[in-house]
Amino acid sequence: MIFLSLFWEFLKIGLFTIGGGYAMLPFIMQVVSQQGWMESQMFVNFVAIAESTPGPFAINIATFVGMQTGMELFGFWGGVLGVICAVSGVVLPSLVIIMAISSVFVRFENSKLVKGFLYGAKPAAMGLIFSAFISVCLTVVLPNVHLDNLSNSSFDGFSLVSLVLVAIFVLLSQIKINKKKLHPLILICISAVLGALIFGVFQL
Amino acid sequence: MLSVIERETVENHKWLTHADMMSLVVIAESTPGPIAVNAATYVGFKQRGFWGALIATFGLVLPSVLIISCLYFVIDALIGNYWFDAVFKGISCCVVVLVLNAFIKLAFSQKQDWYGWTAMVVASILSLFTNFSVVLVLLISAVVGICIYLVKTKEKLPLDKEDNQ
Repeated sequence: MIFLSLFWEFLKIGLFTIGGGYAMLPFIMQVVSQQGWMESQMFVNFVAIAESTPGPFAINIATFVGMQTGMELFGFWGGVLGVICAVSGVVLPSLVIIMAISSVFVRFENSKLVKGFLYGAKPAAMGLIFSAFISVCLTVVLPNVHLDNLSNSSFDGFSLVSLVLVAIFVLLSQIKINKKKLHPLILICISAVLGALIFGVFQL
Repeated sequence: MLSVIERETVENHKWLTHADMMSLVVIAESTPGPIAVNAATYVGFKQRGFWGALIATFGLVLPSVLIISCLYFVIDALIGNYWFDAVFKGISCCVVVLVLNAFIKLAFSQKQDWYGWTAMVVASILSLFTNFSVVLVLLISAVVGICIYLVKTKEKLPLDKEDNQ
């Protein structure tokens, strides 16, 4: 049952996301590819849209995945139900945990168990985000590579132009104007214009 | 996000004191789940208990859900369009960098010891090259973390006592 598994998978994502929105990426990427809910290129597009619209990144992504999966199978109302399942799944752990913490009034932040949990879980979450970065990078630069199943034809789709663009954005994202780095939204706008020029007008 | 919450809840509505706000930040950032959702639940629960938490979270989620649902139809209609695909090919390259920056921001925001670095490297290798569940990776690392942390704090206790004497 697709709606139950949407709810269940996003419940797990809500429960194990430590350190903000992007920590969700590795979890969602694994779920989405294992369940075959969408292609990785589509998912990368969604990340860009979730980043450039208002609202918490996590909720935006949950809405997208719920909509896409439900719509594909059951049309519009399937999409609505998919959104409800995915979003309530991702929100539920927060609700329960925060209410539990606020009602028992424990000196939560001083608990050794909690500190130990974060001590172990945070670095693992970072490692997972790093692997999400590698996966997204491969999707863009080498779309045919799957690290768990490499073959000679894997490297056929290599896109040098994309690699150069990625390098340009690494540099752009470090530039500081008035001691402030460029807002991600500005970077996305620049990349949209460059994309239209390079891939649309010049067809590289 | 948190600065908007502070302005609205502490200054405009006087729902929270500044001390409440401090513990909100600590709790929201160190419990699982999206930070904004944690904060909304906390403020709602402090004000009106269970239903307050539910409604505050619902309010937080609703705009996102509506905006993204509408955008979904726009995107669905445009996919396959020559210019749309070109634009998103460019944007994809930018997303790579956004994810990289999210990693860098997290990785250098705190000191890490030998266990932190090991867990980080092992976790990324496991999730890149195997089908091992990322949830399990995180759980195992958390359990090992709890064990190391408990052992470490036990070792330190006698030292602290000597310092006091």
